[in-house]
Amino acid sequence: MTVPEDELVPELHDIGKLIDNEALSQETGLDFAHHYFSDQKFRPLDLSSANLPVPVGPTWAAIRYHGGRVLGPNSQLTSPAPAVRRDAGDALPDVYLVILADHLASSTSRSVAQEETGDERRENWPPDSASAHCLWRDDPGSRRRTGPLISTRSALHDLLAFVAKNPSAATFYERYADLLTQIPEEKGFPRDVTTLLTHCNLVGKYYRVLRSCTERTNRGLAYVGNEQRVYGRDERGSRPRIPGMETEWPFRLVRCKVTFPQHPARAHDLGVFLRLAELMADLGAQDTVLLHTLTTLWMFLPTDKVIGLRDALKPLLDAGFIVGAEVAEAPLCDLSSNIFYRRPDLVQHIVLHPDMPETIPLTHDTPRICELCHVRPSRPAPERDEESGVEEFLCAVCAGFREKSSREGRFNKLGGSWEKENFPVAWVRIALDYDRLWCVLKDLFRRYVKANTDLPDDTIREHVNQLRDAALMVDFTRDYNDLLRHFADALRRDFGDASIEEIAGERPELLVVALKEAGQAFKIVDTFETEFRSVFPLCEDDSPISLSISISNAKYPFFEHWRFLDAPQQANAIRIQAVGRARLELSIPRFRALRNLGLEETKASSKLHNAAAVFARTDSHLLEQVDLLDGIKKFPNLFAATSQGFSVADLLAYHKIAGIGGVL
Amino acid sequence: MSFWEFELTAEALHIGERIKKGTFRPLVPAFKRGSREYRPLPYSTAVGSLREYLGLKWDAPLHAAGYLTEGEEKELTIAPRDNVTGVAKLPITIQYLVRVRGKIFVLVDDQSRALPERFEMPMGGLRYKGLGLCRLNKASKPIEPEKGEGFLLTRIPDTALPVFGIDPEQVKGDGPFRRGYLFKPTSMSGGVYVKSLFEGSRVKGFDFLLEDGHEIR
Repeated sequence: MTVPEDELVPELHDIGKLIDNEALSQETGLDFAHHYFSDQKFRPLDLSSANLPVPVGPTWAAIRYHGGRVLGPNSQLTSPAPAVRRDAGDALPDVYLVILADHLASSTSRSVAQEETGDERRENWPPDSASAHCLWRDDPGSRRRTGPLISTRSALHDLLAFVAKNPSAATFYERYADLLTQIPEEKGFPRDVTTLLTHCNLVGKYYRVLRSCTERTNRGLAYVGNEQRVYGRDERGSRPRIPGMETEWPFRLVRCKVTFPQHPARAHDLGVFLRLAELMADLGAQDTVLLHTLTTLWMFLPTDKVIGLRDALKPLLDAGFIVGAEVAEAPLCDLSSNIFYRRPDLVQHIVLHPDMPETIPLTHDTPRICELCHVRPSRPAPERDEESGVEEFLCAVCAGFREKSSREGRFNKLGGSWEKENFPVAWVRIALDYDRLWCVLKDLFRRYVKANTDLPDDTIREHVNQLRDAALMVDFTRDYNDLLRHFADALRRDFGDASIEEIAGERPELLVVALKEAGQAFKIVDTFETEFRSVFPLCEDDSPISLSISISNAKYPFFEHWRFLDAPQQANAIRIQAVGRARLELSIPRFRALRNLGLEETKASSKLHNAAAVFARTDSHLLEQVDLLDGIKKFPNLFAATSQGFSVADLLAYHKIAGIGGVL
Repeated sequence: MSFWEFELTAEALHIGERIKKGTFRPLVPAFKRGSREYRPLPYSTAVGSLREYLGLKWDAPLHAAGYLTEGEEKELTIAPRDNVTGVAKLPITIQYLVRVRGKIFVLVDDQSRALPERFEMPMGGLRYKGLGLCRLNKASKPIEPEKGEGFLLTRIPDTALPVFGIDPEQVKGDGPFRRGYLFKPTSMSGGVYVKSLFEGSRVKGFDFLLEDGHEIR
């Protein structure tokens, strides 16, 4: 698919990073020195002299001139170098926006990057790498130097011919997705930790948001998100400059957590998740949304004058959802540097509710309060359940969720056969905690720098502080989505479609599994652990991703499971409860250690119960241990477990949960 | 304005939420701040119970609210009988707290001056099952509250916010406010649900109902 000739596609701006400059310089005789198709002195290469296609148009101008050094003296918008003015023509202001977007989307501060590559660069600093280093997957000490770059003349010819056709971003991703996921945004150590795919995607989003609230004037670009036009002038004079724009143009980063007021009672009330997943997928396609999961949303927005937060989140609010938002408003240069952690004083907390009337009457001839959400008047006529005859007063929103689920034929097993056959069900929730993720990423980055340099800890800390969150978070979220998809596929393979209901979306963060045999609850965890280890092996000890499982009969009210499943993440990544019977919370390595003990084979339930009863009577762990150790030779696995530090409560919970499954 | 501060203790207490599907009656959720955990004692619950104790009419002016600071969560499954037929309906599971501690603050006025130093009064749900008997001990003298800013620890109707030092103007529009409805009687047998401010809202008001902090999750 192509775009009109005069449309700039910012996602392509770094396409030059896909080529191997050294190899192509040898092959073509041109001096490929940077990813701008320029020589050592940033002069544009004459591609036609090597019989290569020469694209034209704004996208090509962005590819060639998005580096600050090629703009002109002091990055002034009104006096670019003649070559830039000639090639970019009318698209020059758009190229400036690409530069701003590029700065915003970078994974580290550009100023630090330049400092490091100067004369003071350390002798033993690791060389550049053409392969992205994945912080959560790749061994920090095994850094690859080579990558799958385009290194032949014919491939370069194809690439330039491709650009000359004005391809859309989707076509670009389709053609080069493999390369983009393997090549880093920046080759220099230690900035090679984000993929070019994420960077290009972010630049595209930032660019379009920036463009939506700027206008061209005869004095350059002006921001129209304030009462007056803001040009972004330099400190000396009146000429707008890129640094001036970055320090004077205010934007907002918004982190949202979406919740709902409903207390789902019947299976079809889970339609609330269907709607939420739909809305999040729609919002995720918008340029203002940087990343999202089922209940989390990160947005990049101009000031309130251009678009109000309530307007930006209108689809969610109209559908009855509640959005808790952390809003950071600051100039662009501040927004790009982890503002939520660095400048909490600039962060505003807001909870957005759907419209709520001042009062809701409660009499027999006027609407009552909705029995599911308790925040809207119900419809005058009650909903009648044909099977039980129960009447419920619901508002239009809650009734809509129920109707949606029913219309789409969802959750029939949950509310039908599983309930009738009386199988226990396991509600399975996977969640990603972004606050914790940021701490984990910083630690992984620290380990990466430490493994590849002999820098003192203070210097390493400085590097860690330069790390920016957005690009890494997006990269991580993409892998997280892969984990969700693989996990759901594996469960379907292991349990069969008849035993699974996916509650939300194609990459379900919430699903429910019928436990038709004993031991299946742990099989779910085993599956999660296997998939987790393949995607995030370095996060096992301190995981920002949690797996929560809540087990009961199918009739047990969902909202009580949800309280457990949606609780803020605890210290342990794996949390299992069998309602009213047992609760087990362990880290991933501890869970694996427990599984490896093979305790299912040990018929130790009564022994564990006895020891637990001693503790209940005496409140003494010592006496509990004494009771457990008495005659423990008959239970070698149990002995091994206690010597590894597992408590009687953990072991008893494990035994109880392992025994759940089959008809109740 | 001054308030009586009462220390509340109870063996077993159920302060519940209105929830559909009557087979499960959960407690109001806990509001966590660091290692501390609070449960709201909503204005409607506190005022209703005190009116009942004092033998006041449904519309007698009285203002009170509080929160619980301690209590161990338990569950109880019962099968209530229909009074007419004597037949047990579906069993219901009730969440309740045992060994409960908390505080109630009552506006000092003509009505509340009648409250003794120490007294017992029923509060919350499932009283017919023996839950809800609360002991209240009054502090020696009323407190003169100071203004502060922090997280609200209880639930208060918008109309009663000024009593607790919260300017209703500050909670208009969007902000760090959690919203919901509380029941307000309008007759002996009827009432309306009124828009209310819930626990976790960050507001300026009298400090005794606020917990300092910076974060709303």
